[in-house]
Amino acid sequence: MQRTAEERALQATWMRLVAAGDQDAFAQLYDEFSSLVYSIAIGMLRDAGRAEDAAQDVWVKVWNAASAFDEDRASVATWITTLAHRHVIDMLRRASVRPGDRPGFEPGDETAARIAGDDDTATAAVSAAYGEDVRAALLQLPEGQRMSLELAYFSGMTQSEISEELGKPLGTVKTYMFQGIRRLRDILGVTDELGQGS
Amino acid sequence: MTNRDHEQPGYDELAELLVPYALGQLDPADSARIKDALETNEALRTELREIEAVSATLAGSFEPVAAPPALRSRVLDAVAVAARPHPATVPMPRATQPARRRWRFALPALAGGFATACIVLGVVAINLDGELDDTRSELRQATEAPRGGGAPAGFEDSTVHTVSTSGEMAEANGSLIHVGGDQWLLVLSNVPDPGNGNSWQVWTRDSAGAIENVAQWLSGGSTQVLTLDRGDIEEVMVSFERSTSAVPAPTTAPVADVTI
Repeated sequence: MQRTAEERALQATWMRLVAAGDQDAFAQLYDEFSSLVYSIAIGMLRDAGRAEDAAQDVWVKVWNAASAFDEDRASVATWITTLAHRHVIDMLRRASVRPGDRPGFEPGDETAARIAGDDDTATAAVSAAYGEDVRAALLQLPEGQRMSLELAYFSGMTQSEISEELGKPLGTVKTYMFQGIRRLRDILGVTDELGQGS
Repeated sequence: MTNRDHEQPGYDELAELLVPYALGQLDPADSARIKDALETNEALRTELREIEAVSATLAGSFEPVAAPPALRSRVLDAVAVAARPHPATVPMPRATQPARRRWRFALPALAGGFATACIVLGVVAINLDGELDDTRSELRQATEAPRGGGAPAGFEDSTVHTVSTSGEMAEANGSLIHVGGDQWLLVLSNVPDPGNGNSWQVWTRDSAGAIENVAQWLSGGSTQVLTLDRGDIEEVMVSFERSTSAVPAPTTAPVADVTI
């Protein structure tokens, strides 16, 4: 996710061209971020067919919504990542299934083998597909914060659903998630990437 | 940012809503509250940008997996047909259409019509900050196949067959469009999600009665478009199957069906 200012400027230029209908610029954008989008889709859906469908949907959204991109608000990488993540969450919610319930694992897939069907195991398996830094950071969070964030980010649960799942009051879940994100921000050293604000 | 931004009444409560807001999970009323507050509170805006950055770090930190090479051409093809013209130029479909019309469009004109339909349907699928919400129903009306039969916008002069739907697909509607020669286009709107481990499977029947499985749709919730390249088609059907792989023959009665 760390990119130089020059890269970000170039990508923002591609976005402006895409918004103007430039398909060559779109191809450049695709080549730059196709792995990112597909990794999110396959990481959360754990099914190659659905992941390809999801990735295609995301890219059509990128094309159609390019004019909504605001480079003063987020980088292209963050914008596309957010679009992809939200789309996959929508897919999960529409299908009312959780990652560990899904078919499509290859025989011998170590991650798949760990998925037994309950949400805890499913979430753990999906989070195992995360990068080392993020996985380590998540493990530093108190259990309530970590589980709330994992259920929201990997399984697409709403705060009300998480409240029910964890048997905690809704207000507690809201606090878990907010404090958890703040702690992750500090642990991962994530800052306002555009250098704005405080 | 001013120090007072953090001290505004209700700041902490609003800040706690920023995570579900960033995930697109807030109800419209709370979402509107956040939008209003963001207009005037710089500390909240900074907080949101940082939450979005952490969210993107989380979502973007899956182990990198290269996209399948075939996906590139699939995506670029989809964008090519969605490229032009702008949805604002979409004409309203006529109220009624004859069951059949002689195909006389030049291919580029048809491509333009298809592009119109695709870009509008793509735009309809977007849910970014609710900016397009107001135009959704109008755009949908302008592009979906009319329930009473007839062609989607851009295909008024093609041969169009209305798809009959029932059962789980009762809310879906669509058309089988003879583009010309051996080219057919199946367009189905409001296709529901088949659910985990299931699929919609598309079949053709030729004049000899042979049935062939031509596609599997693993997801729904939007418009499905399928191109068919074959001259001998007498019927196109869609069945619900408890499998994500192609099955050799339909195991359930068709929920969408069109006979030519």
